Amino acid sequence: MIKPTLVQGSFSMNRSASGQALPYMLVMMVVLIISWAMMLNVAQLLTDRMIMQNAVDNAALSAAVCKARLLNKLGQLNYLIGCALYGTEYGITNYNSYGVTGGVYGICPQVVGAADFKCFTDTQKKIGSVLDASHSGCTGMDNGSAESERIIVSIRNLVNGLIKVQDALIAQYRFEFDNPVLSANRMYKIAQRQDQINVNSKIKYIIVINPESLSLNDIVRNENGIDYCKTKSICISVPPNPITPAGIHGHAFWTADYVHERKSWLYADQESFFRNQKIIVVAGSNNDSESTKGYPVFGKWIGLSWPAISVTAAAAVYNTQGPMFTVEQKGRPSDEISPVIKAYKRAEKGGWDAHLVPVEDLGIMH
Amino acid sequence: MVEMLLIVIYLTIITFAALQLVIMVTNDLSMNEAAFALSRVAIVSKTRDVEFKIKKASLIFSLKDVYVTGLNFLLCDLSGETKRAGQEQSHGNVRVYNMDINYIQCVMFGSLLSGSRIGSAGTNNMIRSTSCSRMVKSPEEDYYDKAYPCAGKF
Repeated sequence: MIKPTLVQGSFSMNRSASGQALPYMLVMMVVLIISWAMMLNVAQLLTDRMIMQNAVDNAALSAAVCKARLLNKLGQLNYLIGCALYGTEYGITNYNSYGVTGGVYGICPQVVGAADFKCFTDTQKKIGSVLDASHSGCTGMDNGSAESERIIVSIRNLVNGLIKVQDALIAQYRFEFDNPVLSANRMYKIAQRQDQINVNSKIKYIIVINPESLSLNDIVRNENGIDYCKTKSICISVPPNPITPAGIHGHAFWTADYVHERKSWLYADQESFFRNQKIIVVAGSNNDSESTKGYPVFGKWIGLSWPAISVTAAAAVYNTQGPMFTVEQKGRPSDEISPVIKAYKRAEKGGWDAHLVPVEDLGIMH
Repeated sequence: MVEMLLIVIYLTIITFAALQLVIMVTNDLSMNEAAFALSRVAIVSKTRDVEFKIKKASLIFSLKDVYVTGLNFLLCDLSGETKRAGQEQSHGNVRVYNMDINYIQCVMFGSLLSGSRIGSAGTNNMIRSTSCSRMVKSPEEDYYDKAYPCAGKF
């Protein structure tokens, strides 16, 4: 502060020492405030990024777990369908539309269990009752028993019921995941829940997910068709005679009265099954999030805007023992039933599980 | 005049101390993030590739921080330990990765504060810090790129 004073008839400038360090202090304060602002901005940026990374990891893993659980359920139901159709222990078997067996007079190879009907095959084409095939006794004709008919009807209902359960599970899954918008919405909810649990700050972000990874287009229904049928049989016994000293005993049987069902078990398409099944979730933060309100500190003054944060995570389903389904060419599945059962039994121990996997194999982006 | 000089010196010390604190905190935050990211790299890499991938990734962090904050040395120390877990988890074994990043930060006027001569091999103006992160690896790393034993790659 300058005070003009009169000294010996002339003016001089007398300067006070107070406040001289003020400009220096102000400069230093500016430097300090800028550095604090930088620290706060970096801290908020890193916090947001960590929260988002955790949220996206959880979202990807949750989606993969959902898919793994569904595959396990579908696999178990497939096994049950296979068992129902293959179930020889219930007196049911699957066989060609006709067959012939026989032996010498008085000894029926089928009744004593010494011979197998060669006509019994491992296909779903015809599902009939083995009881019918041995029902006609030593001589005569049989049109299929009421007992075996009841068994066939119950097997048909059981298989159809299991197929419906599978379809319901798939429909439920598709309702939540099998669409880019739905799956992204689902992922967003999972991520948001995780975000809210961890921190009070609410980050707004958009989630994008690769739609193929969650689709179930590679699990296909076998529609070769099944014929549930009765077995008609005829048995002829010729006692020993000069032409045939040992006599002849023979059975012939054929299927009739079909009830055709189009659908059976599920199989995996060998072209697409688990080739592009890495569930990749990408999240990008919005600038108008609550957590970033007021950030970057002093951003408005220096024209700095809050940077968009982008995080990525990938998860996948796996089974250490096998695919649990028969892997076949789409539209041309086999009619054989036993591979369906074997595929499940082989993969049963492993079971479908889920884990995080590398986003890409470059060693940096994970 | 003398008072002003004293105040200026006093202010300078406080300001630079605060600045140093801010730089250290920012570095710690960055290194904590780096440890988090690197341990994530470790848990999604196959065991045989982990060392290589960590080195590759840490190089990027190192270069970035050299450029941004003047952090001039970074040493990543990855250790994996196998712990016993439930039998259903990968034959009872769970692999845990500890990611320790040891880094050295330059301290402004560190030589003066430590009382040694300026330029004494440059070791007195450095401070050693560590940031850690620990994550558990998936028990089945063979299936990072395929879904089941005979499947094609993702």
